[in-house]
Amino acid sequence: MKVKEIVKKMKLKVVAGKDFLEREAKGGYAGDLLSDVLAGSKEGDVWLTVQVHPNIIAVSAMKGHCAILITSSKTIEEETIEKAKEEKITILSTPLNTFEAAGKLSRLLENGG
Amino acid sequence: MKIREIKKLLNAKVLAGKERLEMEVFCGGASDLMSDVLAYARPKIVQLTGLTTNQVIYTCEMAQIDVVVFVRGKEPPKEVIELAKEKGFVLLATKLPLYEACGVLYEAGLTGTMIEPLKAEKRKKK
Amino acid sequence: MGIRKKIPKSQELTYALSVKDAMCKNVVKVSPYLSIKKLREILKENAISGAPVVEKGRVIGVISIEDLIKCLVKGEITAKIKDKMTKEITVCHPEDPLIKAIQIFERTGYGRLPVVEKDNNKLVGILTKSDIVMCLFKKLRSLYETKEEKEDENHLPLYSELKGDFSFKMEKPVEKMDFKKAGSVSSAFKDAMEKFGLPKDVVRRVSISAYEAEMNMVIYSEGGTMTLQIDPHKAKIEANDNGPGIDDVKKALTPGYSTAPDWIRELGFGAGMGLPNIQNNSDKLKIRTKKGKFTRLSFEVNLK
Repeated sequence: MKVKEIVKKMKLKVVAGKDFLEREAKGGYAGDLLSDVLAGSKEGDVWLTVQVHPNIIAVSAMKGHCAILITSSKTIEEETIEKAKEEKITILSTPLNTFEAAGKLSRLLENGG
Repeated sequence: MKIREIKKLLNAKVLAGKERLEMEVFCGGASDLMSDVLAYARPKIVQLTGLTTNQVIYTCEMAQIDVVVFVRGKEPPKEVIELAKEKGFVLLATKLPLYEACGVLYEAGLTGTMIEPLKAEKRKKK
Repeated sequence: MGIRKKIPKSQELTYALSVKDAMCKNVVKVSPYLSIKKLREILKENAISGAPVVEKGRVIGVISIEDLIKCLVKGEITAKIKDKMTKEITVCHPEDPLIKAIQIFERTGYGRLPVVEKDNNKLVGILTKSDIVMCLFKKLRSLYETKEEKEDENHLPLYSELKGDFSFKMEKPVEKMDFKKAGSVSSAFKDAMEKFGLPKDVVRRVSISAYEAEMNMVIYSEGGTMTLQIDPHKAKIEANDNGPGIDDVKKALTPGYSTAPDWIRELGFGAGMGLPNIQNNSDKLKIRTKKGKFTRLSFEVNLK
Protein backbone atom coordinates (compact mmCIF):
# COMPACT_ATOMS: atom_id res chain seq x y z
CA MET A 1 0.00 0.00 0.00
CA LYS A 2 1.20 3.46 -0.85
CA VAL A 3 1.98 5.96 1.90
CA LYS A 4 -0.58 8.37 0.48
CA GLU A 5 -3.34 5.80 0.92
CA ILE A 6 -2.35 5.30 4.54
CA VAL A 7 -2.39 9.07 5.02
CA LYS A 8 -5.88 9.21 3.63
CA LYS A 9 -7.31 6.20 5.45
CA MET A 10 -5.79 7.01 8.83
CA LYS A 11 -6.36 10.76 8.44
CA LEU A 12 -2.72 11.56 9.09
CA LYS A 13 -1.12 14.96 8.98
CA VAL A 14 1.83 15.31 6.62
CA VAL A 15 4.47 17.32 8.46
CA ALA A 16 7.32 16.95 5.98
CA GLY A 17 8.06 15.20 2.68
CA LYS A 18 4.78 15.76 0.81
CA ASP A 19 6.53 14.81 -2.42
CA PHE A 20 7.37 11.27 -1.42
CA LEU A 21 3.94 9.85 -0.67
CA GLU A 22 4.09 7.46 -3.61
CA ARG A 23 6.50 5.25 -1.68
CA GLU A 24 5.30 1.74 -0.94
CA ALA A 25 4.75 0.80 2.72
CA LYS A 26 5.87 -2.78 3.24
CA GLY A 27 5.27 -3.05 6.94
CA GLY A 28 5.45 -1.27 10.25
CA TYR A 29 7.85 -0.88 13.13
CA ALA A 30 7.06 0.73 16.47
CA GLY A 31 9.74 1.79 18.88
CA ASP A 32 11.44 4.70 20.59
CA LEU A 33 14.87 3.28 21.30
CA LEU A 34 17.08 4.23 18.38
CA SER A 35 19.36 1.23 18.80
CA ASP A 36 16.36 -1.11 18.65
CA VAL A 37 15.05 0.64 15.57
CA LEU A 38 18.44 0.30 13.91
CA ALA A 39 18.55 -3.37 14.79
CA GLY A 40 14.97 -4.39 14.17
CA SER A 41 13.22 -2.27 11.57
CA LYS A 42 13.22 -3.06 7.86
CA GLU A 43 13.43 -1.14 4.65
CA GLY A 44 10.03 0.13 3.56
CA ASP A 45 8.59 0.13 7.11
CA VAL A 46 6.47 2.93 8.49
CA TRP A 47 8.27 3.80 11.72
CA LEU A 48 5.95 4.70 14.59
CA THR A 49 7.55 6.64 17.42
CA VAL A 50 7.14 9.42 19.96
CA GLN A 51 10.75 10.49 19.53
CA VAL A 52 10.94 13.88 17.85
CA HIS A 53 14.56 14.98 18.09
CA PRO A 54 16.65 15.37 14.91
CA ASN A 55 18.48 12.05 15.29
CA ILE A 56 15.41 10.13 14.16
CA ILE A 57 15.99 11.42 10.62
CA ALA A 58 19.47 9.91 10.40
CA VAL A 59 18.19 6.59 11.70
CA SER A 60 15.26 6.56 9.29
CA ALA A 61 17.43 7.49 6.31
CA MET A 62 19.90 4.77 7.18
CA LYS A 63 17.20 2.10 7.38
CA GLY A 64 15.27 3.34 4.34
CA HIS A 65 11.85 3.62 6.00
CA CYS A 66 9.05 4.79 3.76
CA ALA A 67 7.86 7.28 6.41
CA ILE A 68 8.07 8.22 10.06
CA LEU A 69 4.75 8.39 11.88
CA ILE A 70 4.88 10.51 15.03
CA THR A 71 2.17 9.40 17.45
CA SER A 72 0.31 11.12 20.30
CA SER A 73 0.50 14.42 18.38
CA LYS A 74 3.99 15.05 19.68
CA THR A 75 5.29 18.50 18.82
CA ILE A 76 8.11 17.99 16.36
CA GLU A 77 11.27 20.03 16.70
CA GLU A 78 11.92 22.54 13.91
CA GLU A 79 15.38 21.13 13.37
CA THR A 80 13.92 17.66 12.86
CA ILE A 81 11.61 18.95 10.13
CA GLU A 82 14.50 20.77 8.44
CA LYS A 83 16.63 17.63 8.47
CA ALA A 84 13.74 15.59 7.09
CA LYS A 85 13.49 17.91 4.12
CA GLU A 86 17.22 17.63 3.49
CA GLU A 87 17.13 13.83 3.67
CA LYS A 88 13.88 13.49 1.71
CA ILE A 89 12.12 11.79 4.61
CA THR A 90 8.37 11.90 5.07
CA ILE A 91 7.13 12.76 8.54
CA LEU A 92 3.50 12.03 9.37
CA SER A 93 1.63 12.76 12.57
CA THR A 94 -1.43 11.36 14.35
CA PRO A 95 -3.20 12.09 17.62
CA LEU A 96 -3.50 8.32 18.19
CA ASN A 97 -1.04 6.80 20.60
CA THR A 98 1.45 4.20 19.44
CA PHE A 99 -0.69 1.26 20.53
CA GLU A 100 -3.75 2.37 18.62
CA ALA A 101 -1.84 3.67 15.60
CA ALA A 102 0.07 0.39 15.31
CA GLY A 103 -3.17 -1.55 15.63
CA LYS A 104 -4.89 0.47 12.92
CA LEU A 105 -1.91 0.45 10.58
CA SER A 106 -1.40 -3.28 10.86
CA ARG A 107 -5.07 -3.90 10.15
CA LEU A 108 -4.83 -1.58 7.15
CA LEU A 109 -1.70 -3.18 5.71
CA GLU A 110 -2.94 -6.70 6.24
CA ASN A 111 -6.55 -6.42 5.17
CA GLY A 112 -6.57 -3.18 3.25
CA GLY A 113 -8.76 -1.61 5.93
CA MET B 1 -9.36 -8.44 28.23
CA LYS B 2 -7.91 -10.94 30.66
CA ILE B 3 -4.15 -11.15 31.06
CA ARG B 4 -4.44 -14.85 30.31
CA GLU B 5 -5.76 -13.98 26.82
CA ILE B 6 -2.95 -11.51 26.25
CA LYS B 7 -0.45 -14.18 27.23
CA LYS B 8 -2.00 -16.54 24.72
CA LEU B 9 -2.29 -14.02 21.89
CA LEU B 10 1.31 -12.90 22.23
CA ASN B 11 2.59 -16.38 22.98
CA ALA B 12 4.19 -14.77 25.99
CA LYS B 13 6.12 -16.09 28.93
CA VAL B 14 5.06 -15.10 32.46
CA LEU B 15 7.99 -13.62 34.39
CA ALA B 16 6.03 -12.49 37.44
CA GLY B 17 2.50 -12.51 38.80
CA LYS B 18 1.42 -16.00 37.67
CA GLU B 19 -1.47 -15.90 40.13
CA ARG B 20 -3.03 -12.78 38.62
CA LEU B 21 -3.69 -13.93 35.07
CA GLU B 22 -7.45 -13.65 35.50
CA MET B 23 -7.19 -9.92 36.03
CA GLU B 24 -8.76 -7.64 33.42
CA VAL B 25 -7.05 -4.79 31.64
CA PHE B 26 -9.05 -2.20 29.77
CA CYS B 27 -6.67 -0.78 27.24
CA GLY B 28 -3.14 -0.88 25.96
CA GLY B 29 -0.20 1.47 25.91
CA ALA B 30 3.00 1.10 23.93
CA SER B 31 6.18 3.06 24.47
CA ASP B 32 9.87 2.76 25.14
CA LEU B 33 9.99 6.24 26.58
CA MET B 34 9.22 6.37 30.23
CA SER B 35 8.31 10.03 30.35
CA ASP B 36 5.76 9.24 27.69
CA VAL B 37 4.30 6.54 29.89
CA LEU B 38 4.03 9.05 32.72
CA ALA B 39 2.36 11.62 30.54
CA TYR B 40 -0.15 9.41 28.78
CA ALA B 41 -0.75 6.26 30.71
CA ARG B 42 -3.83 5.40 32.72
CA PRO B 43 -4.34 2.87 35.47
CA LYS B 44 -5.62 -0.58 34.47
CA ILE B 45 -3.76 -0.66 31.21
CA VAL B 46 -1.27 -3.14 29.89
CA GLN B 47 2.00 -1.41 29.07
CA LEU B 48 4.06 -2.78 26.19
CA THR B 49 7.69 -1.75 26.10
CA GLY B 50 11.11 -2.72 24.88
CA LEU B 51 12.87 -1.08 27.80
CA THR B 52 13.93 -3.54 30.47
CA THR B 53 15.47 -1.50 33.27
CA ASN B 54 14.39 -0.82 36.84
CA GLN B 55 12.99 2.45 35.54
CA VAL B 56 10.14 0.62 33.80
CA ILE B 57 8.96 -0.73 37.14
CA TYR B 58 9.31 2.58 38.94
CA THR B 59 7.65 4.49 36.12
CA CYS B 60 4.72 2.13 35.93
CA GLU B 61 4.39 2.12 39.69
CA MET B 62 4.05 5.90 39.65
CA ALA B 63 1.51 5.73 36.84
CA GLN B 64 -0.41 2.98 38.71
CA ILE B 65 0.18 0.45 35.98
CA ASP B 66 1.03 -3.05 37.12
CA VAL B 67 0.88 -5.15 33.98
CA VAL B 68 3.90 -4.91 31.69
CA VAL B 69 4.71 -6.84 28.52
CA PHE B 70 8.32 -6.79 27.35
CA VAL B 71 8.55 -7.04 23.57
CA ARG B 72 11.20 -7.83 20.94
CA GLY B 73 12.29 -10.95 22.82
CA LYS B 74 13.84 -8.86 25.55
CA GLU B 75 13.83 -10.07 29.11
CA PRO B 76 14.75 -7.85 32.01
CA PRO B 77 17.59 -8.80 34.37
CA LYS B 78 16.77 -10.76 37.53
CA GLU B 79 16.89 -7.75 39.82
CA VAL B 80 14.21 -6.01 37.76
CA ILE B 81 11.97 -9.07 37.99
CA GLU B 82 12.57 -9.21 41.73
CA LEU B 83 11.66 -5.54 42.13
CA ALA B 84 8.50 -6.13 40.11
CA LYS B 85 7.53 -9.15 42.22
CA GLU B 86 8.05 -7.09 45.37
CA LYS B 87 5.63 -4.53 44.03
CA GLY B 88 3.06 -7.10 42.90
CA PHE B 89 3.45 -6.63 39.14
CA VAL B 90 2.47 -8.99 36.36
CA LEU B 91 5.33 -9.25 33.86
CA LEU B 92 5.09 -10.98 30.49
CA ALA B 93 7.72 -11.34 27.78
CA THR B 94 7.03 -11.92 24.09
CA LYS B 95 9.25 -12.47 21.09
CA LEU B 96 7.02 -10.26 18.95
CA PRO B 97 8.17 -6.75 18.07
CA LEU B 98 6.13 -3.88 19.48
CA TYR B 99 4.29 -3.16 16.22
CA GLU B 100 3.13 -6.75 15.76
CA ALA B 101 2.18 -7.11 19.42
CA CYS B 102 0.02 -3.98 19.24
CA GLY B 103 -1.53 -5.26 16.02
CA VAL B 104 -2.47 -8.62 17.52
CA LEU B 105 -4.00 -7.12 20.67
CA TYR B 106 -5.79 -4.40 18.73
CA GLU B 107 -7.23 -6.98 16.37
CA ALA B 108 -8.47 -8.92 19.42
CA GLY B 109 -10.36 -5.89 20.62
CA LEU B 110 -8.05 -4.04 22.98
CA THR B 111 -8.04 -0.28 22.44
CA GLY B 112 -5.43 2.35 23.10
CA THR B 113 -5.41 4.75 26.02
CA MET B 114 -6.87 8.18 25.64
CA ILE B 115 -4.51 10.46 23.87
CA GLU B 116 -4.84 13.52 26.04
CA PRO B 117 -2.06 13.75 28.57
CA LEU B 118 -3.11 13.88 32.19
CA LYS B 119 -3.95 17.49 32.42
CA ALA B 120 -6.26 19.02 34.92
CA GLU B 121 -7.69 21.74 32.80
CA LYS B 122 -10.61 22.20 35.11
CA ARG B 123 -8.21 22.77 37.94
CA LYS B 124 -6.36 25.40 36.00
CA LYS B 125 -9.49 27.31 35.12
CA LYS B 126 -10.42 27.65 38.75
CA MET C 1 -19.76 7.47 58.93
CA GLY C 2 -18.61 4.14 57.59
CA ILE C 3 -20.73 2.22 60.06
CA ARG C 4 -23.83 4.26 59.47
CA LYS C 5 -23.52 3.44 55.81
CA LYS C 6 -23.25 -0.26 56.36
CA ILE C 7 -26.28 -0.88 58.55
CA PRO C 8 -28.82 -0.44 55.76
CA LYS C 9 -26.69 -2.73 53.61
CA SER C 10 -26.72 -5.47 56.23
CA GLN C 11 -30.47 -5.03 56.63
CA GLU C 12 -30.90 -5.35 52.93
CA LEU C 13 -28.87 -8.53 53.06
CA THR C 14 -31.14 -10.07 55.68
CA TYR C 15 -33.83 -10.05 53.01
CA ALA C 16 -31.60 -11.24 50.20
CA LEU C 17 -29.93 -14.07 52.10
CA SER C 18 -31.82 -17.15 53.20
CA VAL C 19 -31.60 -19.35 56.23
CA LYS C 20 -29.70 -22.04 54.35
CA ASP C 21 -26.87 -19.55 53.67
CA ALA C 22 -26.31 -19.04 57.37
CA MET C 23 -27.37 -22.29 59.08
CA CYS C 24 -25.00 -24.84 60.46
CA LYS C 25 -25.49 -28.19 58.75
CA ASN C 26 -23.69 -30.35 61.25
CA VAL C 27 -26.38 -30.50 63.85
CA VAL C 28 -25.90 -32.20 67.19
CA LYS C 29 -29.28 -33.78 67.78
CA VAL C 30 -30.52 -35.95 70.60
CA SER C 31 -32.96 -38.79 70.91
CA PRO C 32 -36.02 -38.28 73.14
CA TYR C 33 -35.19 -41.46 75.03
CA LEU C 34 -31.84 -40.33 76.37
CA SER C 35 -31.49 -39.34 80.00
CA ILE C 36 -30.82 -35.81 81.22
CA LYS C 37 -27.51 -37.09 82.54
CA LYS C 38 -26.50 -38.19 79.05
CA LEU C 39 -27.70 -34.85 77.65
CA ARG C 40 -25.36 -33.06 80.03
CA GLU C 41 -22.41 -35.01 78.60
CA ILE C 42 -23.42 -34.33 75.02
CA LEU C 43 -23.84 -30.61 75.59
CA LYS C 44 -20.53 -30.45 77.41
CA GLU C 45 -18.69 -32.47 74.77
CA ASN C 46 -19.94 -30.33 71.90
CA ALA C 47 -19.79 -27.04 73.80
CA ILE C 48 -23.36 -26.22 72.90
CA SER C 49 -26.22 -24.92 75.00
CA GLY C 50 -29.08 -26.90 73.54
CA ALA C 51 -30.12 -29.34 70.86
CA PRO C 52 -33.16 -30.34 68.82
CA VAL C 53 -34.81 -33.57 69.82
CA VAL C 54 -35.27 -35.83 66.83
CA GLU C 55 -37.25 -38.99 66.36
CA LYS C 56 -37.16 -40.79 63.00
CA GLY C 57 -35.56 -37.77 61.37
CA ARG C 58 -38.29 -35.41 62.46
CA VAL C 59 -37.99 -32.71 65.06
CA ILE C 60 -40.33 -33.25 67.96
CA GLY C 61 -38.92 -30.77 70.46
CA VAL C 62 -35.99 -28.74 71.72
CA ILE C 63 -33.99 -29.22 74.88
CA SER C 64 -31.69 -26.56 76.29
CA ILE C 65 -29.20 -26.08 79.06
CA GLU C 66 -31.87 -24.27 81.07
CA ASP C 67 -34.03 -27.40 81.04
CA LEU C 68 -30.97 -29.31 82.18
CA ILE C 69 -30.31 -26.93 85.07
CA LYS C 70 -33.95 -27.18 86.22
CA CYS C 71 -33.62 -30.97 86.32
CA LEU C 72 -30.33 -30.76 88.19
CA VAL C 73 -31.92 -28.50 90.78
CA LYS C 74 -34.82 -30.89 91.20
CA GLY C 75 -32.58 -33.94 91.21
CA GLU C 76 -34.25 -35.39 88.14
CA ILE C 77 -31.06 -36.32 86.42
CA THR C 78 -32.31 -39.72 85.28
CA ALA C 79 -35.47 -38.33 83.66
CA LYS C 80 -35.88 -38.82 79.91
CA ILE C 81 -35.42 -35.92 77.54
CA LYS C 82 -38.89 -36.42 76.06
CA ASP C 83 -40.49 -35.54 79.38
CA LYS C 84 -38.49 -32.38 79.94
CA MET C 85 -38.13 -30.91 76.46
CA THR C 86 -40.06 -27.98 75.06
CA LYS C 87 -42.63 -29.45 72.73
CA GLU C 88 -44.10 -26.32 71.31
CA ILE C 89 -41.24 -25.65 69.03
CA THR C 90 -40.68 -22.89 66.55
CA VAL C 91 -38.77 -23.84 63.46
CA CYS C 92 -37.70 -22.13 60.28
CA HIS C 93 -37.23 -23.43 56.74
CA PRO C 94 -34.08 -23.36 54.60
CA GLU C 95 -35.72 -21.06 52.02
CA ASP C 96 -36.91 -18.50 54.57
CA PRO C 97 -35.23 -15.12 54.32
CA LEU C 98 -32.87 -14.43 57.20
CA ILE C 99 -35.04 -11.57 58.35
CA LYS C 100 -37.80 -14.06 59.26
CA ALA C 101 -35.43 -15.95 61.54
CA ILE C 102 -34.25 -12.69 63.10
CA GLN C 103 -37.85 -11.75 63.84
CA ILE C 104 -38.46 -15.13 65.48
CA PHE C 105 -35.36 -14.70 67.64
CA GLU C 106 -36.52 -11.24 68.67
CA ARG C 107 -40.07 -12.35 69.42
CA THR C 108 -39.30 -15.53 71.32
CA GLY C 109 -35.92 -14.89 72.88
CA TYR C 110 -34.79 -18.37 71.75
CA GLY C 111 -31.10 -18.99 71.26
CA ARG C 112 -31.43 -21.44 68.39
CA LEU C 113 -33.87 -22.50 65.74
CA PRO C 114 -34.02 -25.94 64.14
CA VAL C 115 -34.15 -25.70 60.37
CA VAL C 116 -36.55 -28.23 58.88
CA GLU C 117 -37.75 -28.97 55.40
CA LYS C 118 -41.13 -27.47 54.71
CA ASP C 119 -43.10 -30.53 53.58
CA ASN C 120 -41.71 -33.34 55.76
CA ASN C 121 -40.36 -31.59 58.85
CA LYS C 122 -36.99 -33.27 58.36
CA LEU C 123 -34.13 -31.65 60.25
CA VAL C 124 -31.50 -30.18 57.91
CA GLY C 125 -29.67 -27.71 60.10
CA ILE C 126 -29.66 -25.38 63.04
CA LEU C 127 -29.48 -21.63 63.18
CA THR C 128 -28.16 -19.48 66.01
CA LYS C 129 -27.84 -15.72 66.27
CA SER C 130 -24.11 -15.96 65.92
CA ASP C 131 -24.53 -17.95 62.68
CA ILE C 132 -26.49 -14.99 61.32
CA VAL C 133 -23.88 -12.51 62.42
CA MET C 134 -21.09 -14.57 60.86
CA CYS C 135 -22.98 -14.97 57.61
CA LEU C 136 -23.67 -11.25 57.30
CA PHE C 137 -20.12 -10.45 58.17
CA LYS C 138 -18.74 -12.78 55.51
CA LYS C 139 -21.14 -11.46 52.89
CA LEU C 140 -20.36 -7.84 53.69
CA ARG C 141 -16.68 -8.53 53.57
CA SER C 142 -16.87 -10.20 50.18
CA LEU C 143 -19.09 -7.39 48.86
CA TYR C 144 -16.65 -4.86 50.18
CA GLU C 145 -13.72 -6.64 48.60
CA THR C 146 -15.36 -6.95 45.19
CA LYS C 147 -16.44 -3.37 45.37
CA GLU C 148 -12.95 -2.32 46.20
CA GLU C 149 -11.56 -4.31 43.31
CA LYS C 150 -14.17 -3.07 40.86
CA GLU C 151 -14.18 0.60 41.53
CA ASP C 152 -10.64 0.88 42.73
CA GLU C 153 -11.95 3.61 44.97
CA ASN C 154 -9.54 4.72 47.57
CA HIS C 155 -11.03 5.40 50.94
CA LEU C 156 -9.40 7.79 53.28
CA PRO C 157 -8.99 5.84 56.46
CA LEU C 158 -6.19 7.85 57.91
CA TYR C 159 -5.88 11.18 56.25
CA SER C 160 -9.55 12.09 56.50
CA GLU C 161 -9.40 11.68 60.24
CA LEU C 162 -6.50 14.05 60.64
CA LYS C 163 -7.34 17.52 61.72
CA GLY C 164 -5.79 20.84 62.55
CA ASP C 165 -2.21 21.74 61.88
CA PHE C 166 -0.97 18.23 61.26
CA SER C 167 2.09 18.00 59.06
CA PHE C 168 4.26 15.12 57.89
CA LYS C 169 7.72 15.41 56.39
CA MET C 170 10.07 12.92 54.79
CA GLU C 171 13.46 13.69 53.32
CA LYS C 172 15.61 11.47 51.08
CA PRO C 173 18.93 11.90 49.30
CA VAL C 174 19.19 11.53 45.52
CA GLU C 175 22.51 10.40 44.04
CA LYS C 176 23.84 11.67 40.77
CA MET C 177 23.90 9.09 37.95
CA ASP C 178 22.71 6.26 40.17
CA PHE C 179 20.36 4.60 37.70
CA LYS C 180 19.85 1.49 39.79
CA LYS C 181 18.25 3.45 42.60
CA ALA C 182 16.68 6.18 40.51
CA GLY C 183 12.97 6.07 41.23
CA SER C 184 13.26 4.60 44.71
CA VAL C 185 12.75 7.97 46.42
CA SER C 186 9.52 8.61 44.54
CA SER C 187 8.50 5.05 45.29
CA ALA C 188 9.00 5.66 49.02
CA PHE C 189 7.02 8.90 48.79
CA LYS C 190 4.23 7.10 47.01
CA ASP C 191 4.14 4.47 49.75
CA ALA C 192 3.94 7.13 52.42
CA MET C 193 1.12 8.93 50.64
CA GLU C 194 -0.78 5.69 50.21
CA LYS C 195 -0.35 4.88 53.89
CA PHE C 196 -1.83 8.24 54.73
CA GLY C 197 -4.75 7.35 52.54
CA LEU C 198 -4.46 10.36 50.24
CA PRO C 199 -6.88 10.23 47.30
CA LYS C 200 -5.59 8.06 44.47
CA ASP C 201 -5.58 10.91 42.01
CA VAL C 202 -3.40 13.01 44.30
CA VAL C 203 -1.01 10.12 44.95
CA ARG C 204 -0.70 9.61 41.24
CA ARG C 205 -0.08 13.22 40.34
CA VAL C 206 2.42 13.80 43.11
CA SER C 207 4.33 10.59 42.51
CA ILE C 208 4.53 11.10 38.74
CA SER C 209 5.89 14.60 39.30
CA ALA C 210 8.25 13.41 42.01
CA TYR C 211 9.58 10.75 39.69
CA GLU C 212 10.23 13.22 36.88
CA ALA C 213 12.03 15.48 39.33
CA GLU C 214 14.05 12.58 40.69
CA MET C 215 15.08 11.45 37.20
CA ASN C 216 16.07 15.01 36.30
CA MET C 217 18.20 15.15 39.40
CA VAL C 218 19.84 11.79 38.67
CA ILE C 219 20.52 12.60 35.02
CA TYR C 220 21.40 16.27 35.01
CA SER C 221 22.41 17.39 38.49
CA GLU C 222 25.15 16.88 40.99
CA GLY C 223 22.65 15.15 43.27
CA GLY C 224 20.70 16.56 46.19
CA THR C 225 17.70 15.83 48.38
CA MET C 226 13.99 15.47 47.94
CA THR C 227 11.35 16.18 50.56
CA LEU C 228 7.74 15.14 50.76
CA GLN C 229 5.44 17.18 52.95
CA ILE C 230 1.82 16.36 53.65
CA ASP C 231 -0.42 18.76 55.51
CA PRO C 232 -4.21 19.08 55.68
CA HIS C 233 -4.42 21.12 52.48
CA LYS C 234 -1.73 19.86 50.18
CA ALA C 235 0.98 17.41 49.33
CA LYS C 236 4.22 19.19 48.49
CA ILE C 237 7.50 18.05 47.02
CA GLU C 238 10.77 19.93 47.18
CA ALA C 239 13.69 18.87 45.05
CA ASN C 240 16.92 20.67 45.84
CA ASP C 241 20.08 19.88 43.94
CA ASN C 242 23.64 21.13 44.06
CA GLY C 243 23.86 22.45 40.53
CA PRO C 244 24.66 23.05 37.75
CA GLY C 245 21.39 24.99 37.41
CA ILE C 246 19.03 25.30 34.43
CA ASP C 247 20.15 27.61 31.61
CA ASP C 248 16.75 28.63 30.35
CA VAL C 249 13.79 27.76 32.57
CA LYS C 250 11.23 28.88 30.01
CA LYS C 251 12.71 26.58 27.39
CA ALA C 252 12.93 23.72 29.89
CA LEU C 253 9.19 24.06 30.43
CA THR C 254 8.48 23.64 26.71
CA PRO C 255 7.21 20.13 25.89
CA GLY C 256 9.77 18.27 23.82
CA TYR C 257 12.69 20.53 24.67
CA SER C 258 15.58 18.43 25.89
CA THR C 259 19.32 18.68 26.26
CA ALA C 260 19.67 14.94 26.81
CA PRO C 261 22.51 13.12 25.06
CA ASP C 262 21.65 10.02 23.04
CA TRP C 263 22.63 7.54 25.72
CA ILE C 264 20.04 9.06 28.04
CA ARG C 265 17.45 8.78 25.33
CA GLU C 266 18.35 5.13 24.93
CA LEU C 267 17.50 4.70 28.60
CA GLY C 268 14.02 5.84 27.74
CA PHE C 269 14.44 9.34 29.11
CA GLY C 270 15.22 12.75 27.79
CA ALA C 271 12.07 13.17 25.73
CA GLY C 272 11.73 16.67 27.06
CA MET C 273 8.59 15.95 29.01
CA GLY C 274 9.92 16.19 32.56
CA LEU C 275 9.13 19.71 33.66
CA PRO C 276 6.07 20.04 31.42
CA ASN C 277 4.77 16.85 32.96
CA ILE C 278 5.34 18.20 36.47
CA GLN C 279 3.57 21.38 35.48
CA ASN C 280 0.59 19.45 34.16
CA ASN C 281 0.28 17.40 37.29
CA SER C 282 0.69 20.05 39.96
CA ASP C 283 -1.41 22.94 41.14
CA LYS C 284 1.54 25.12 41.95
CA LEU C 285 5.10 24.97 40.64
CA LYS C 286 8.11 27.05 41.61
CA ILE C 287 11.59 26.90 40.11
CA ARG C 288 14.54 28.85 41.46
CA THR C 289 17.87 28.20 39.83
CA LYS C 290 21.34 29.71 39.96
CA LYS C 291 23.87 28.86 37.31
CA GLY C 292 26.66 26.68 38.65
CA LYS C 293 25.06 26.56 42.10
CA PHE C 294 21.64 24.96 42.52
CA THR C 295 18.11 24.35 41.35
CA ARG C 296 15.27 24.41 43.82
CA LEU C 297 12.10 22.94 42.45
CA SER C 298 8.93 22.79 44.50
CA PHE C 299 5.44 21.78 43.53
CA GLU C 300 2.17 21.16 45.28
CA VAL C 301 -1.04 19.26 44.72
CA ASN C 302 -4.08 20.52 46.57
CA LEU C 303 -6.02 18.09 48.68
CA LYS C 304 -9.40 19.75 48.57
